Amino acid sequence: MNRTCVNDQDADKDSFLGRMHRLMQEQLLMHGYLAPRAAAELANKPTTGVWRPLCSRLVAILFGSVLSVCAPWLLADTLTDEPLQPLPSQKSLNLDPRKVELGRQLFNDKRMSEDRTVNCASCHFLEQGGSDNRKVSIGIHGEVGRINAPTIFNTGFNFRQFWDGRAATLEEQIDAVVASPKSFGSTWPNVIARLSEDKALVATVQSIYPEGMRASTISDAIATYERSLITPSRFDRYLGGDENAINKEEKAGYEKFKAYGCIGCHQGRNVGGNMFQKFGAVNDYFEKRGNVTPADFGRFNVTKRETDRYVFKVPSLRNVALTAPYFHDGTASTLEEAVEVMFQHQLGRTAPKEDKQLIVQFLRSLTGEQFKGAK
Amino acid sequence: MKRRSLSIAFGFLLVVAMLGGLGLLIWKTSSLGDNNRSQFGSAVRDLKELDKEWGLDLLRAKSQIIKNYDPLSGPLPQLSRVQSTLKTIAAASDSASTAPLDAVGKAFGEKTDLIDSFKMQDSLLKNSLRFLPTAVAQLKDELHKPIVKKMRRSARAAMIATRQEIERAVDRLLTGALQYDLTTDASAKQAVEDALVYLGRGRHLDTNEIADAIDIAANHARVILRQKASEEAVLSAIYQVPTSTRIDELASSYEKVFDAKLKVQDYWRRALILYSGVVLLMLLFSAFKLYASYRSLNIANGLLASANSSLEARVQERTRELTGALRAAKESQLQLIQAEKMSSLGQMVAGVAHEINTPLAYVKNSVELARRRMKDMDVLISEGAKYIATTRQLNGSNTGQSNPHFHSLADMISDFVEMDTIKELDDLLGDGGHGIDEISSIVGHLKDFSRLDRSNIDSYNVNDGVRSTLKIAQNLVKKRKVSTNLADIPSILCSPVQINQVLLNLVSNACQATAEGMGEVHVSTRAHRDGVVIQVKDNGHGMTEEVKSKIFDPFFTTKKVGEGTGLGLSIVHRIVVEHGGQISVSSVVGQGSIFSIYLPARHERKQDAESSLSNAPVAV
Repeated sequence: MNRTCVNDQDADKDSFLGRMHRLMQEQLLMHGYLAPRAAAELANKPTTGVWRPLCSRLVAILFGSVLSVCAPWLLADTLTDEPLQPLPSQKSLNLDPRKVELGRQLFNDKRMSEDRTVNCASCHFLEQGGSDNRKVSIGIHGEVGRINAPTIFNTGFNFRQFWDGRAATLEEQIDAVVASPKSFGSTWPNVIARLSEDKALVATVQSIYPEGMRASTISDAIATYERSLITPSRFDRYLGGDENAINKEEKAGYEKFKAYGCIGCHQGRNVGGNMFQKFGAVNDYFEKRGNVTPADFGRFNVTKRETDRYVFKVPSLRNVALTAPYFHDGTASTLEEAVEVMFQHQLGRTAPKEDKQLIVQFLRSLTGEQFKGAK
Repeated sequence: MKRRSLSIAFGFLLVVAMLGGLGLLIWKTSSLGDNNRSQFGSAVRDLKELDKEWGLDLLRAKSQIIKNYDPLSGPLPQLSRVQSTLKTIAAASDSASTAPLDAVGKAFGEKTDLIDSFKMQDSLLKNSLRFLPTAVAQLKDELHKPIVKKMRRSARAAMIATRQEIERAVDRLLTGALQYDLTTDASAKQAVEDALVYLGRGRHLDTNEIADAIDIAANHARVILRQKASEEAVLSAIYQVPTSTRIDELASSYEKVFDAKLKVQDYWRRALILYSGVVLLMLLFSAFKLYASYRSLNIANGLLASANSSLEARVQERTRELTGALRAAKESQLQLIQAEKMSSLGQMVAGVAHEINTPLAYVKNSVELARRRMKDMDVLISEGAKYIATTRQLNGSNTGQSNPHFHSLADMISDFVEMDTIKELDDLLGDGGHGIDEISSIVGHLKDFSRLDRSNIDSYNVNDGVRSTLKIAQNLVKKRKVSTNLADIPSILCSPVQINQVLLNLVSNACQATAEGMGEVHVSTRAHRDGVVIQVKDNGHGMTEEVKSKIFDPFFTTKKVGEGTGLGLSIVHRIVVEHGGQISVSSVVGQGSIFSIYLPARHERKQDAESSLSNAPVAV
């Protein structure tokens, strides 16, 4: 039924039906309801006769209409099929732009820390993948943290915050950072008192939150800003139906990523960030690395359950190419190294170097197009 | 005064207490609305629904219908939101224990941990399951590689056999593992374990590559066994987490709380209804009281008002009566005085006329007699003159000289004759007689006017009245042109004195209203219906309407003080009214006035009017 004729189409180039037909195909392509290949086939299948082209075109139009009506359902179906999911659009998040702007200011406000030397952006550079490219982060008074700072991007899609998942929400995460002696080393009353000296800021907060400046409103603003920091990538466009958004190697890398089982943990719309896993699930990691510290106990620190020892939140792999060094301990300085460690300890298998390279290439396609590189 | 303020304060307190009671009851009945209950119910339903969907997603994830764990972590924010909603509602509905809610939270915490654990186990299991066939295939590839090591034929055959054995074991391993994943069958597990034991023994029998491949496959098979077991354990643990039960318990416990509250509320509501009823009754009662008192007040007020107005009316009436009586008394007193005056004047006039009549009669007789004797005097004088002349002829000129008396007589007689003195005397006497006639005529009119010689009520011709009046008023009328037009009219039964007084008053008023010399007064009479109309017309200065409306009021006068009593026209009015007649005036300022009087021939109540006039001063 999806038959039409190139010649016929050329002949009908300026006819009404011809134009309608092309329009329909373009529309379908644009909305990703029709795979480009299928569309190409649709356009190229040869046919003969006089009536057939006309009938087939009508049928194609009819099919197109039915398809566009059923599209949401079909779309949903195709996407649940993939273990990776595209990021939702920023618009669909319905964030209050005033809160986002206020959060942005506070995110960059050094008054949040006790000695006014650090702010959120000190460890989460938007220009560097939302992380700080250090092995471990540095807080107030130059305090060296215990753990590698994860990216700030797409954290709204993480099911919990921190490597050990001790914060259920971004707001809780902010609370912990404000109070942590190695981060901001302050208290909310101190922060509020300090921010309240800024009359303009007080007025702004008051205009957005009727209850005024409080820990809850400040953390809500920052969290809202953080939720707005999402980084759709080329790969998302690929998932959306743009076949050419990623190249052949990256596509192959994605296939390897799935085939080798990386997808077992790094799945969902955030390519991770929705589960815990033991670091060294198949082969012990810490025995090999040595020098185990409490920071390596991971979720055990939270639950005190032996089964949670060395268990960490599976990090999102979005923007992973920008967030070196890797792992909670920042021991892997390159993506290749990190992939190797994963193969050894999480997958418990080996792979040809080319396959790993393809996977690394795929991972690079997850870099957000919006915050890529220096601003 | 003090009692009054006390009672006001008491009333105020009572009202405040009543309102306070009402407020308390309303608060008691509304503090726990159905809103809370329905919100709680819907939150509980949401929680159950989320839990159910979560469980289904777990199964979907397990059976790989869904290929990522987003649906398993997705409900977490919603779950915590719904729980905090429940917490808020529970906190709002006081006295309820938070234990069931905590139990729900604990169950969900447990379930969340278990699902986290499931994801860990499941991802590893899936990884190994996916990889095991590949690992086995890789191992087989190694096994199928030609044996490069140099060895004896028998040894080579044994190695081939071993390799075949290993391959079989690996097949058993793979099938066993896959079967175990599907069925969790103990025999399958046993088969895998047996194969693992065999492979463990055989791994160092061949090349290192084969040993490594065996290790990898065995490792993943072990992972499958382990993870499958632990996944099953986690799943059963998840299904044992009593979230649903806890939610039901929560629902029922709060249902109980709400029911208890509802009961209390119901009690309070009943109290409220009762209280409202009582208050309403009290209100109604006081309203009724108020209405009743208002009504009685209104009635009393009305009575008072009507009494007031009737009193006022009575006072006014009385005042009017009194003023009227006073005026009437004053009037009648004065009229009486006037009437008395007139009557005594009339009596005097009549008396004088009568007294004058007699001497007048002999003055008249004497004068007539003297006049008659004047002829004798004339004869005497003429005889005397004849004697003198004769004598003189006889005696000559000196006759007289000898006698002086003769001479003086002769002189006197000649004077008489010369001066015609006798004629003069006769004329004088004639004049005197005429004057006496006049006097007797006037006296007669006076007598006529006063009519004292007649009875009070008499049949009277008004024309006579007009004539005698004009005669009496001669002095007034003198310098005006008076004309009369007296028709042939019937006599009427009246008091002639009074009628004459009416006429005199009108005529004298008419004369006074006109200027001397130019004044014209016209009196006419005519028969009209069963009576007489008398009209007195003048060309005087006339009257304004205002004056006209007051002319019959007693003591109203336009004349200077001392010139008029102001009673004249009021007496006229009264007399006419008493005779059952009517009086009307038409007047134009500067042109004159016309007074018209109608008098009936007969007036029945004349006698009463007469008596009322005489009795008037007494009737106050």
